[in-house]
Amino acid sequence: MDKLNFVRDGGRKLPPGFRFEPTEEEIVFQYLSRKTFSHPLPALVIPEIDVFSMDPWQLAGDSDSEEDMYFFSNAHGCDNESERVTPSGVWKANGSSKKIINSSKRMPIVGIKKSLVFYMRSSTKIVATNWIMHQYCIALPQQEQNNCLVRIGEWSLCRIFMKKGGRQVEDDDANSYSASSSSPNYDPTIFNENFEQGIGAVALRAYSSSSANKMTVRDAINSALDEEMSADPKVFMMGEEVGEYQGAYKITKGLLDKYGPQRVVDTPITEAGFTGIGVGAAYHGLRPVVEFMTFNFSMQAIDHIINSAAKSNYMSAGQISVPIVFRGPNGAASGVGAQHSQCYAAWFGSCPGLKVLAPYSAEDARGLLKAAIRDPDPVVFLENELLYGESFPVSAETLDSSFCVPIGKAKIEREGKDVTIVAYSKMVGFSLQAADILAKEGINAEVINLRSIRPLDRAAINASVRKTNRLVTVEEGFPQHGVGAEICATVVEDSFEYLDAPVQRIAGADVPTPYAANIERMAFPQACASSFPL
Amino acid sequence: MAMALTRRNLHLLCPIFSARLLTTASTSPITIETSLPFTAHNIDPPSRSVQTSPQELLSFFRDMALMRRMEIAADSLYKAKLIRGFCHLYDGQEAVAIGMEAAITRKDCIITAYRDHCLFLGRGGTLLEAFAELMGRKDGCSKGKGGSMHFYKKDGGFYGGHGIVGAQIPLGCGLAFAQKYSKDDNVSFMMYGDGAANQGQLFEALNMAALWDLPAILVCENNHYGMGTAEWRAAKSPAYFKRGDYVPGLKVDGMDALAVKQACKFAKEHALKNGPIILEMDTYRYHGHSMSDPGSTYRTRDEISGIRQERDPVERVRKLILAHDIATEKEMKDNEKEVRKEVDEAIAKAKEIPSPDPSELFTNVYVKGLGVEAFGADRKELRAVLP
Repeated sequence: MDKLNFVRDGGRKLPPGFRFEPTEEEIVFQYLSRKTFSHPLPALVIPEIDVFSMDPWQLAGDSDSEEDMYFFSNAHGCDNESERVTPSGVWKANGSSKKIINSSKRMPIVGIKKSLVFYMRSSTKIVATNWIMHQYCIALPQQEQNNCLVRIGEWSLCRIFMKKGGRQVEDDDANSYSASSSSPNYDPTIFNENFEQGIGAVALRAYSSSSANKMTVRDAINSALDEEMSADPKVFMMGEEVGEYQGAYKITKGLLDKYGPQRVVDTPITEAGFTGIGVGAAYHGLRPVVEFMTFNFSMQAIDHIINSAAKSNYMSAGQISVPIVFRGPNGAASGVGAQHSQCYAAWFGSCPGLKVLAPYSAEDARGLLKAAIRDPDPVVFLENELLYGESFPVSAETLDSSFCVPIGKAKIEREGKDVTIVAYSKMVGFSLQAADILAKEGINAEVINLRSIRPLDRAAINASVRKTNRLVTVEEGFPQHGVGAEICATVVEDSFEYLDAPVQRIAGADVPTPYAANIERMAFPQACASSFPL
Repeated sequence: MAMALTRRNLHLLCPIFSARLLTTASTSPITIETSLPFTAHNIDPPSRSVQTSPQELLSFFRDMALMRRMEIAADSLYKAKLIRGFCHLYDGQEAVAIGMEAAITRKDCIITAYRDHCLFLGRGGTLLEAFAELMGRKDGCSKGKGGSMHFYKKDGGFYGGHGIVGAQIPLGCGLAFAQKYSKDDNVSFMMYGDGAANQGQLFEALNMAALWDLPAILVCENNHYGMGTAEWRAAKSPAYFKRGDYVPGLKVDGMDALAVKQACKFAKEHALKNGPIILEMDTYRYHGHSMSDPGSTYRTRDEISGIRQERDPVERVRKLILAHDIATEKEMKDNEKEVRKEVDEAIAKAKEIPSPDPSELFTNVYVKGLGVEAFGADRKELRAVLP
């Protein structure tokens, strides 16, 4: 399990073919932000040095290379106009700062880039040299203060190079933001002499503000896998294209580089074989995470999931436990046809010995996957392809590496009093949209995100129905013997007198999924105001 | 001598007389030739000369006689309706289990299908645990919740006991994967029959085992009949040891415990260095596929009695012992009497053990039940909270 560390003796030693030429966006949002928030870096290419403790020509060390040098250094001076003194001279800011914005707008943070020129001290004066530094740091726009930028974190990323003829030192006017202390928008009192305290206060505010960090479900799953693999050497991943391809849906991106081929195992296209191998490895004490490219392919391996994994602890009276996670996208994508669109929640949810989870938001995905990997029983983790790219706000607690969401507990996404809508996975989003539409008609709906299909949170569902007296279940899967049927049965058994109306089930159509867009739309629940032509 | 004994199944050494015979037996090496040569595929076969000792031969006899007696007793128990459901008996195939145990340690893993009683015994399981499990009593090896097909002994490296034909092969490759991952220098043996040899998942798992150099040894216990279907009716190519194509294979006389021992020792060394290997054990079962199958509708009684006459594994070892003057006829007969007595005592004790407590219906569904409610057939009456 070797970390990919390309820094040797303070210098950069890259393998043949590896070019380190990051764009400004990559500098800020891949390297510097990860360093700042203590997330694992994709590859350790950048050493840490106090760039102002040496003269620029000393920074290159023994290397004769004329390439740009990159260092992580402290962020002193990034936000003000002070000069940085070195043994033989001084770095002075050259012009105004430039704002770097994330093109996918995933994160609210922005980068600030400052350009500096090195002046050498000669007997009586200082002389400009050709040494240029670009210093990048991260800031958070403060909406309350007119979007002025507040720097966060104690790291800056410095690119240092010797200007050659023809190379432009960027000094653009577009997006320029003056960091001068004379600007009325900039509040220097945020940073006091007690540096860390100041940074801590800013960082805390950055996490806990209402426009806090956002995270896609894809990143949530990737970070959860990364953290759990880092914490426990017995955890390993297995599946088609999880390694070199970086994941069919890019969920496992970066994991092969970080953990190596022994722990991120690319398999041939043989579900029955590799699922059995995963279960056998779990018998012996490892903790596999087996990926199905979609759960439609799990049917080829379903004997191993049910008979070899789910039932083993019971049949052996506790001798053989199976701490395995089966994960992958479940349910319909878009236009992929009948064989690639089925939802398996009901099938797996009926099997004793399995735990079945269906996350909706990024917080769900992170917390439930971490809980699943730590759980000693076989867990089926049903993701959704169309949710992978969706962003959700995440709290600081969610980003912590010990964050887990309890298995078996539903979440009330929206409180209400007139009707309970129970859903899981993508349908939670649709239910929330539907609740907004209902609100315009004066109906206050309570939306419950199941999170866990097995164990089912019967208590939460019943408590909600006892409050609202009406129940609608929503799922993507086939209606007969579906999850909604079980929810209906449990409410009828436990809360019959509280129901003011029969339970309504909304499910996928009772047909194999068609391809043409118009009838495919008809095959799945949609959230809309007008009635649907059948 | 005591050290050599601890490698064998100590639990089998109860009665005093033959215990004395075993302890006083010499450990000085004898070399015996296997009765048939090995046939090899893509590999050089091991030598036909097997190193053994009087003590080892005596323990082979003792253990195989015990297994034989246990299976025959299970037959009677099944007919007396004390064993229910499926009961797949191993008598005739004992040499495979015994020879394998002699070549490996308890850190190596064995996984098999449902004909698992004798392999369980070989891995350190007791007669009492076996009979109690067969009769569904609470002190069975799976607390009465598994039955004949689901014997396990994890601390002895025995991973079951599987009812689905062929599933045990990818599972066994998974055990080998974990052994390689943990770098613990042990191997996994996965046993399957000539019927399972045609399963697709075998080839899927074999491909991955060869690709990743897993220490996996696939052992085909070819008793020539997959339930009621003879091998020539089920397989286009019944040379199961060659089916691995790029994976080397060895065909072994599975009725000769010494040949099995030699082959397994050879296979273990190979697997640790070069990845998977297939062993085909040419063996035979006297009983039908299971107790519901008389075993005589698809094969002749002459065939069965012929094999019993010519190739019976227990007889072969007895003859070797007598030929090398390791024990007398009378001592051997007494040995068998003791084995019978031991089995009868275990059965009597097992019959006394009660059935599992009704609360056991809901235990072990999960390792961590999270306080979830589970329901029985009458949801209002029978429910439990899983801890």
